[in-house]
Amino acid sequence: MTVRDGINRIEDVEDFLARYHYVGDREIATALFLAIRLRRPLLVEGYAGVGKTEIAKTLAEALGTKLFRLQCYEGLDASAALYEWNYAKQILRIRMEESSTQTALEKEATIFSEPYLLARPLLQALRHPGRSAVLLIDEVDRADEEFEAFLLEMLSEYQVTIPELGVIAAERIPYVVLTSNRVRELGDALKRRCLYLWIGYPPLEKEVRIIQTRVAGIEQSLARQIALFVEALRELDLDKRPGVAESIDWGLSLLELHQDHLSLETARATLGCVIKSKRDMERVQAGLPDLLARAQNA
Amino acid sequence: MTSRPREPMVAVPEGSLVVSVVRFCRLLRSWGVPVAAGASQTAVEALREIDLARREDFRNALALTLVRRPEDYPLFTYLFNAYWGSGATRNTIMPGEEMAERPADVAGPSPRAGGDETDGGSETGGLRLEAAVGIAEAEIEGVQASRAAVTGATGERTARPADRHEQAELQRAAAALAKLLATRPSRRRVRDRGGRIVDPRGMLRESLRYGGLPIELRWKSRRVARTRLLLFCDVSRSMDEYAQFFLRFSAAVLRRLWRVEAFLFANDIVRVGDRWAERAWHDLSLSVPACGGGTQIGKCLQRFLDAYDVSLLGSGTIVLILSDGLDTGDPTLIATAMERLRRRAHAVIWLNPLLHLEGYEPRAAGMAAALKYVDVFAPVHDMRSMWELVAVIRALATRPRSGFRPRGLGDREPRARDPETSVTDAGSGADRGLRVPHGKEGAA
Repeated sequence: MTVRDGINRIEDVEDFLARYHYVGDREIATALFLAIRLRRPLLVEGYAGVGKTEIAKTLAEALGTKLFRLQCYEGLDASAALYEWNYAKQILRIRMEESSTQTALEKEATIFSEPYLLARPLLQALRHPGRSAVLLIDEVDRADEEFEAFLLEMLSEYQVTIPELGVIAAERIPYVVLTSNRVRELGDALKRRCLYLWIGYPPLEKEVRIIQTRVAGIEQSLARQIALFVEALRELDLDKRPGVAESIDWGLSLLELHQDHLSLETARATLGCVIKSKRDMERVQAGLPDLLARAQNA
Repeated sequence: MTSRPREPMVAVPEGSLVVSVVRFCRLLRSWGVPVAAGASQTAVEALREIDLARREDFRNALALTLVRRPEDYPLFTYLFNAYWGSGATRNTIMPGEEMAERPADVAGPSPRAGGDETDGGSETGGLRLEAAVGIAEAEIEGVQASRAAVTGATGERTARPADRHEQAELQRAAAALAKLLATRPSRRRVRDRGGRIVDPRGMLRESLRYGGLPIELRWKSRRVARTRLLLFCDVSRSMDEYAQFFLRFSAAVLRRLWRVEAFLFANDIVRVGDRWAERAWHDLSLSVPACGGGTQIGKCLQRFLDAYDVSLLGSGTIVLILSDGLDTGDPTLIATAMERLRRRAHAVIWLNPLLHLEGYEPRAAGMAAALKYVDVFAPVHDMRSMWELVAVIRALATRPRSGFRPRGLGDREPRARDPETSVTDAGSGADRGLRVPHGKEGAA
C-alpha cells in the first residue's frame, strides 16, 4: 500500500490536484482524501459539466495508476460491465479440436480458460496488477436498479464469481468513483456504502481560475468576463443551465477566434458554446446587451 | 478494509467523540435528514483520519459521511453550527454535552434560510439553538424528541413538507405511477439478451458465423414503450392548498422517471427544468410571474403549444393538468388550446380538486369548454384520490393508442368548426368509450 501511504494529510491531496490542474476546493480534497484512506467508494453528484468525471481522471493520474471507466446506460447488464466469454473464439477452437483425441472434459477446460475470457471494465479494474486501479462508474443513475444491486455486491466484496473459473478476488482493491447527474435517485443501500460529495456550480473566483487553468493562454480579464456572464446565465430561468465545461468550451472558442474581450458581436456569434436549447437561445439573445453589460462592468 | 487507526491529532477522548457523533446523527434524523444506521461509524472513522483542529475539515468529513442529498446541506450546516459550536470564536470542537452550558450567543442561520450561509451569522438573531439543545438533551435522557415540540418551540418550521407518513405514501403512489408509465409494453419486439421470446430469425443469422451451427439462443422481448408525462399545475391562489400536495407528488414522480416535464401556470406559464428536485414548492410558485393574479389557462396552454408542441407532444405523451378551472380569460381560447393538446397527445387527464366537493358541477365557462377535450376528469385532493388516479392512468397507459382514440376525419379539422358542432364532437368522444364519466369518477 505504498501509494496510500504517500497520502497522509488532506494537503497531499490538494497538492496533487493542483499539480494535475484540477481546481478543487478543500471539500473535494477532503472527499478524495477520505476515499483513499478509508477505501470507500466516492459518490459524486452534481449538475452536468461541473467536473465530476474529471475528479476520477485526476485521481488516476495523480496516483500513477490506470483508470477503468464504465459508462452506464439504461439496460447495462453484468456481461457488458463485468465479463463475457468469447463465444466465437470458443467455437473456432472446438472446430479445430474436432479430430483431436482430447476428451470432452479437456476440451471444456481449454475453452473456459483465461484466453477465452473477455474482461469488461469492472473485472479489469479488479485484476489490475500492481497499484490499485481507479474505477470510474460514470452516470450510475442511468443504469437500472438491477445493475445497482449488482454493483452493490461487487463493491462490498471486491470479488466476482465466474462459474467456470472460480472466484476472482481483487489483488488490490480499486479506488472507486461513482458519478450521478441525479436524473434518478439512487438506492439507499448504494448511497450508504459510499462517501457522498455534492458539487455545485463554483463561486466566481474559482470558475475564473478553472477557465485560466484549462484554457492555456487566456487573458484573465476575458476569463473573468466569461465567468461573470455564465454566472448571470445560471440565474436565468433556463432549461439547460451551462456548466463549467461550457465556460471552458467558450473560452477555447474565443481564444481560437483571437478575441481578448467579450464584445456583443462575438458573444452573439459564439453563444452556442454555452446555450444548448432553442428556447434558451431566444431568451438569452433578447437580453444579451444587458447580460454583457453586467459581465463587463462588474 | 485495512485502514489502520491513527491517533487523533487533537486529544478528544475517543469515547466522547463517538458519543457526540452518535448524538449528532440522532439530531440530524430528528430534523428529518435521513442518516443511515451505519453512517455514524463511518463518520468516526473519517474523523480519525483528519486533523480535528481544522473546523472546516471536521465539518466536511461529517457532511461527506452523513449527508446524502444536496437539499439537506442547509439544514446540516445549521445543525452543525448549533451542535458543534459556530466556530466564530474557537477552533476546537465542542462535544455535544457542553452545548447546554454554553452561552446562548451563537446564533445559527434559520434552517430554511437557504444554503449560502456556511457559518453562523449572528445577525439572524432568532435563536434556534435552544431547540437543538432541547432535542439533544431529550435524547440524552432517552426521551423521544417530539417533532411537535420542536415546531412549537421554534414556530418557524411550518414550511416543512408533509409528515413522514404522508410523504412515504406519496412516494409509494409515485413509484407505482412511475413504474406503470415506464413499462408500457409495445407491440414491437426487439432483441434483448434477457428476453423471454426466442428469436429464430436472429439465431439463424447468427449461426452463419459458425458455419450454420446454432450455438446460441437469441432472445427477443416486447419493446418497452415509454410514456412521457407532462404535468401542468395551476399555482394560482385558489389552488394553494391542493397544488402543494400535487407538486410533492409530481416531484416524487419526477425523481423516478426521465421523461417527465412539469409546467406551472397562473397567468403565465413556466417550465420547471431540472431544478425541481432541489427547489421547494414555495420558490417554484414564486417563479411564476404575478402568481396571485387571475388565472389564464387558455393563454398559458397556447403559449406552451407554441413553444413545445413538436418537441414534447406526441403519441406517447400523457398530459396531466391540475387546475380548478376557474379562469379569467376567454373560454374559446381554452377550447382551441385543449383541442390541439388532445389531438397531439395520447391522453389528457384533468384533475380538479373541487370535484370532490358535494354538489360541484363544472359550470365555470373555462372548465366547461375544456371538458370535452378531456379523457379523464377526476378529483385529486388526498392520498386516496391519488391512488385512484394511479389506477385510471394504468388503464389508459396499458391500452394501445389505436384502440383508444380512433382518429376520424373530424379530428383533423376541428378548428374550422363552430362551437355548436364541437358539442356533438364531445358526444362522439363519449361514444369512443375513452372518457371516464366524471360522475362515476367523482363518486369513486
